[in-house]
Amino acid sequence: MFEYLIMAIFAGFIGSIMGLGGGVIMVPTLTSIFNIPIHKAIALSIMGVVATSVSGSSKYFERKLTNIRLAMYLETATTVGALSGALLALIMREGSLYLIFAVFAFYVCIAQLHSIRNEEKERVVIYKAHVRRVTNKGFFNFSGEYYDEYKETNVKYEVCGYLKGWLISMFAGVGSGLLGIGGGFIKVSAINIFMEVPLKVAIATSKFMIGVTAATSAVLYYVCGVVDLGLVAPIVVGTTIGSYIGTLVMNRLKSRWLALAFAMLVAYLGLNMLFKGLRIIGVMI
Amino acid sequence: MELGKLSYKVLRVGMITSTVFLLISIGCNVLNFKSYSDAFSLLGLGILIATPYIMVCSIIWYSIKEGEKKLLLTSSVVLIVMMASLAVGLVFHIAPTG
Repeated sequence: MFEYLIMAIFAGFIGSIMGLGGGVIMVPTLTSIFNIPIHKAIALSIMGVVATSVSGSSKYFERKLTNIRLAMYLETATTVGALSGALLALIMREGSLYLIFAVFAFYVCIAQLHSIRNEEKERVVIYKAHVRRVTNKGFFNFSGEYYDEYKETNVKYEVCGYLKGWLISMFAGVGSGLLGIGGGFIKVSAINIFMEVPLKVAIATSKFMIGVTAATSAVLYYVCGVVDLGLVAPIVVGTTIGSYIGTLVMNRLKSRWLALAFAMLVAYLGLNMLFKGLRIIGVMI
Repeated sequence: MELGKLSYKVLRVGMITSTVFLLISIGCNVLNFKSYSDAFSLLGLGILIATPYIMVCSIIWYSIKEGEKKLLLTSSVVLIVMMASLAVGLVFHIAPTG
């Protein structure tokens, strides 16, 4: 029990300081170190994702950063995606899931390395989002306002790229249901880059959305009997504690070297999943 | 009540209640009360998963009260999909393939 608790604290902590959910660490660790079947690992991970979202998003409500109306619009896509993803995971063979997870882990690794290189470029995109003027009206108008503590001023923003954002959110939902991840990094980039919403609002809205998306697939895994009740408590409590500690220290810890170490860890876990998947489908002995 | 405050309260209550039950479950496991541990784990997990469902329901209630048609439409679609997920699981009870 305690080894699961410690692993979940670690996964939640690392995920939190890197701005990701713990799923990318949790699923490979549960399958590789604890030899838990991948379907069960995904189901346990998704429970941790619900917990981190429910606990983490409440603080953004306090600061009035979450755009609930926009979140509900995008949730019409992510919940459909999560349901399809979870169904796909349940009918898919173990080997295929390992291979898909390996591809996802390599993608996260490359994205992490890319973000280290392009930090300056991303700042320009975020600034552009802050200075847009509110002009959009009509049915799809989820424009909003928030108080920027750093600038000590109210920031108004408009939302655009509704279709793009909706489609990418659908993809994030499929990923969440299929692999037991939050998919926050996909949602944040969809809301921030494609819908041109300020980054702080994008992060808060995405954090809120993750819980609703994950609960959609979590209930399916739970009803289908995939969730191991004996392991749920340490995983959920551990992930919550880990991500809480992570948010407390993230500003002091985040550095290029830490991001690089995380990218390497994810690459290693991805390789592990790849070899395991290839062994299961019989390509490797 | 403001929509943000309402969602905040639902999330807080859900999180605290489920964490308390899950901590009791861990305590029972440490003390070797296996059946109690599973029961509290089931309860904690149920509340945790139900929290986002209750939150969407509360958003629907708010949108009806405030006459926000757009929010009512989107949140109702979300709740229908979430309920569909539960229904699919209950009806088909799909066992994972090895």
